[in-house]
Amino acid sequence: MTGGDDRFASLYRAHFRHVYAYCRRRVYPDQVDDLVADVFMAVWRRIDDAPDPDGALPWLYRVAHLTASNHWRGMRRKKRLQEKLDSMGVTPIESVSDQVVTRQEVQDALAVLEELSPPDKEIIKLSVWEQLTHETIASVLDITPETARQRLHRAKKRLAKTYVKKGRNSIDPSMFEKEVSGEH
Amino acid sequence: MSIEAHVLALIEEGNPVPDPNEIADAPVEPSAYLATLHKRSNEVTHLDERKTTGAPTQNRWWIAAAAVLIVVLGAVAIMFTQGGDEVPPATDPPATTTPGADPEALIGTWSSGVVTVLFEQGSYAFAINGVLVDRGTYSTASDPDSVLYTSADDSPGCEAGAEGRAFFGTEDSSITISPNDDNCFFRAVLFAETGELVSAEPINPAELPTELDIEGYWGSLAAGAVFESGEYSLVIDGELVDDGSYELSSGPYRVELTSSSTDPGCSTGSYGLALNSGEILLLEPADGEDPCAARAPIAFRDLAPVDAIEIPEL
Repeated sequence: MTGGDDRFASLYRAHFRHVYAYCRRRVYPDQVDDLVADVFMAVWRRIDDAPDPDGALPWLYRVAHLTASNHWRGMRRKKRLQEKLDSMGVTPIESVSDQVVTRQEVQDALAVLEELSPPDKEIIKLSVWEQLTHETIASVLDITPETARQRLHRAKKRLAKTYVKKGRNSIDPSMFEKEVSGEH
Repeated sequence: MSIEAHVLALIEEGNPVPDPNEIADAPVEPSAYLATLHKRSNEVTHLDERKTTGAPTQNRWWIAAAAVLIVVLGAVAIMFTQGGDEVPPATDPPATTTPGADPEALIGTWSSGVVTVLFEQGSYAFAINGVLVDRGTYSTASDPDSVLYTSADDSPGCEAGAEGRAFFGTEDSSITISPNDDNCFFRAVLFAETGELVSAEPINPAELPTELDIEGYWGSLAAGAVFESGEYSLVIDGELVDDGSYELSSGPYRVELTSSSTDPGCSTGSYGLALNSGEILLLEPADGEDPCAARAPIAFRDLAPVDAIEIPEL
C-alpha cells in the first residue's frame, strides 16, 4: 500500500457511515451504494488534498455534495421522463420521503422541502439532518460563514412560506405574513 | 412554536438516517475497495490518453467556428420556415386591437427590426437581429389577451419545457413578453408600450450590448469577473473561485463558459453561460445546478471597476 492508500483507508474506515448517511438522505435506497462509491472514487483521486481523518468530515461532505449534484442533474432528467409516464397512466416511483416515513404530517413537510430550489433544500438538510454549524456548512458549500448564515435564514423563511401556501398548516396564512414581516 | 420551527421539527423527524452510527460497517474492506479503485483508475487513464490524440487546438477552433456558422444558418432557415419572410416592414400601418379581443386574433408577426416575435399556428419564435434565440409552442392561456408559451429550446441556459406568457395590451397595442423561470435571455426583454405593434422595441434598445461587450471587468463589492481574450476569471469575496475559457454562443449576448476547475466533483470542461443585458452580467450554470458551487447564479451590477477586489493568483 502507498501512503495515499493508507490515508484513504483511514478516511474510509473513519467516515464511511457519515458519507453513507449523507447519501442515503439524498437519493433513493437503490442508488445509495453507487453514489457512495462515486464519492469515495473522487476522494481517492484527490487524496493528496484530503485533510487528516480527524478533521476530514466537512471536506468529505463537500466532495459528497458535489458528487451528489451531478447525480441530481441526472435525476431531473429521469423525473421529466417519469412525468411523461405518469400522464400515460404508468405507476409513479416512490419519492425518497415516501419510503422512509409514514406519518402524514412529516410526509407533507418533506414534500414541501422537496419543492424548494436545490440550494435551499441542501442547506436545510445540512443544517437539520447533518446538524452542521454555519462554519461547517460554509466549508461544505465553499462559501463564507456569513453567507451560509444568510442563505440558511432565507431558505428557512421560504420553507415556512411554502408550507403555509401549500395549506399544510391550519394557521391562517395572513398571520404568517405578519410573522415574517415583523408585525405583531 | 413558530411555523418555521414547526416545519423544521417535522423535517428533522423525517430524517431518513437519524443516527449514522446505526449504519452497519462498510460492506467492503478498504483494501478490497482500493483494488477496485486502482482498476477503475487505470481504465480512466487509458481513456484520457486516447482523448489527447484528438484534433489540434487550431483545428478545434475551426470546427467550433463552423459549428457556430451552421447554427446561425439553421436559425435563419427556421425563421423562414416559420414565417420569417412575412415580417412586415417597419413602415407598415400599426395593427389595431380591440379591448377583450381573442388572443388568437392577435397572433402574427411582431417586428421592430431588432426583435422579431412570431406566434403562428401553435409555434413561436423569438429572434434578435435576425438570430433565433428561442422557439417552442404556445397555447391560449386562461387569462384574456395572453398566451402561454413553452420553450422547446434546450440550448445552454434554456430549459426545454420552461413556460412563459406573452401579454397583449388591448388598449395601447403593446406586447410584453414576461420573464420566465429559466435563463433564456430573450425572455428578460420587455416590450415598451409604444402604441404601435410594428414598432415594438425592447427597453432601451440603444443600450443593448454587442457580443464583444462581454470583454472587460464586471464587478461589485462581493464578486467580480474578468472576461478578456477568451479567458475568464470569477472572484467572490476576494477569492478566485473559478476560471476557464469562453466563447460566443449561438445567440446574441450569450457567451458560453468552459471551466478549467478541477475541484472534487467539478469536471474540467463543464460549462455555464454569461448573459449580457447591458447593465447586468448574469452568470448561470447551464441547468441551474452546476456542481461547482462557485458558479452559482450571480448578477454583476455597477460596470465601473471596483478597486477593492483583487484577482489572486491560482
